[in-house]
Amino acid sequence: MEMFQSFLSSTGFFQMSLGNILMIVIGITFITLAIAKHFEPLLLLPIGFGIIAGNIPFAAGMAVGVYDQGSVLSYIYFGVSQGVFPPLIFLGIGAMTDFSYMLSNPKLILLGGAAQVGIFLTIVGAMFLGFNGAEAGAIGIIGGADGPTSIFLSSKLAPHLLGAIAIAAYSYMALVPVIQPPIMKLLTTKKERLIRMAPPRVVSKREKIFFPIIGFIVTALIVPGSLTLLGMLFFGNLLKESFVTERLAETARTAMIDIVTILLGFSVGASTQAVRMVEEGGVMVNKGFLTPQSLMIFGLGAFSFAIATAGGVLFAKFMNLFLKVKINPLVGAAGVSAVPDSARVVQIVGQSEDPNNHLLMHAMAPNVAGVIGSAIAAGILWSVLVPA
Amino acid sequence: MNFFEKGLQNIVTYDGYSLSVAGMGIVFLALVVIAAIIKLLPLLLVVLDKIIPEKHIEPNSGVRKSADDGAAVAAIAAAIYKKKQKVG
Repeated sequence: MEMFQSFLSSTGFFQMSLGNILMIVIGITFITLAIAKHFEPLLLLPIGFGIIAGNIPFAAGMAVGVYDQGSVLSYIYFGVSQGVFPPLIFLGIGAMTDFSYMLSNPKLILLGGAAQVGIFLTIVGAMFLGFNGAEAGAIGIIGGADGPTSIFLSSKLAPHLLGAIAIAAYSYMALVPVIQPPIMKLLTTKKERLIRMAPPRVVSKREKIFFPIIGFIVTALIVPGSLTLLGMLFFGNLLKESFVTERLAETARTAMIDIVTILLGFSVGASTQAVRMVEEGGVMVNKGFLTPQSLMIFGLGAFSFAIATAGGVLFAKFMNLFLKVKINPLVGAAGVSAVPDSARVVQIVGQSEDPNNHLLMHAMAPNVAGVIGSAIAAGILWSVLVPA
Repeated sequence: MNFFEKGLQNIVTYDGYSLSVAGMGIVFLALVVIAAIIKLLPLLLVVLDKIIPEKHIEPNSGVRKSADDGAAVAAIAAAIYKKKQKVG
């Protein structure tokens, strides 16, 4: 009988808290959004299931959760906490990215830079709300709209906020089609949204091969902190464009990125335990997901996304003051690096005004420039804010 | 010190303003350099093409050229014809 009672007290039902129930509901919501609404299913489904797994309570002393030394999940989470998975995802992204739209119209790269204003304004906002420099840097990078970069930087600067930052970044990436259009329409006139852009020029094979090599050397020399992410991005792209390593490129953009996405998504989700008491200076402190800090991170993330979108659109309008051949300012919104979702949003918003206006290929230029820009920003923040 | 003043003080303590301005500047600088290199790349490649002409590398698409297919079919047909003659 005692054994039975001991078993009963060790069940999840017995130890379930309100916080766990809330997190499980959030996990189910993520899965529902992925399946029913097709919002970033490749990310939201593993994360959603991971959230549920991370919030099933278990008896103390059992090595089950991601934070328990020696547990299976802790080994998977190692790839997140030590920043191993994000560069591997960048390798896959590089192997599937076509830089030719960017190479054909290099001035659009600047839009990818302008959208990074979201990162740097959010850093100021986070500091205003009481976060320290390293925490503010890790939160600000959400504005880069790049999940792997957010995870990479927060694992270096503020590992205790990693779960909240990763969930916020991926949630907002999934919500790009909801967040961006109202801002894009608010900041542009109908006449501007109707601007048609000239078709991009044909880019030679040699340009495509030279770019990842030169691009990597230049960016790594300017910001060595971005070496890991950009090195893998450009290396993956060289595998693709060289045509002599097609097998490697194929593996990087299919099997490898899929495996890493599964492991990353699930373990990030599982890291969102509602309550996790940790001893800090002799006092037990809640380092779980359900804290006022997490709410602030979600608020700052939304602000960051909105500012990044506005930054890209407004900079495109600014560039138009000096350009003879005008840019459709909608493409500026693709400067946030949610590839290719934000470029797709530009296409959809553009076509809602003129069904024959195809902006997708033009939007891909700031979109991939945004990936480079946010990785550079992450490198800068890492080198400046890394805790001693 | 109220919440507002405390927040502003925190920004100053962690050099928030200078970090933002310098960070944005460096991101822009890096991207401007990349844009400039991309702009110059075709010109450099024109010079390179004169020294080492570009070979047209076709992607390994799995589709064979029709000329190759014709030659292969002709060779196979000839071999079958010869074999049949010997058997006959």
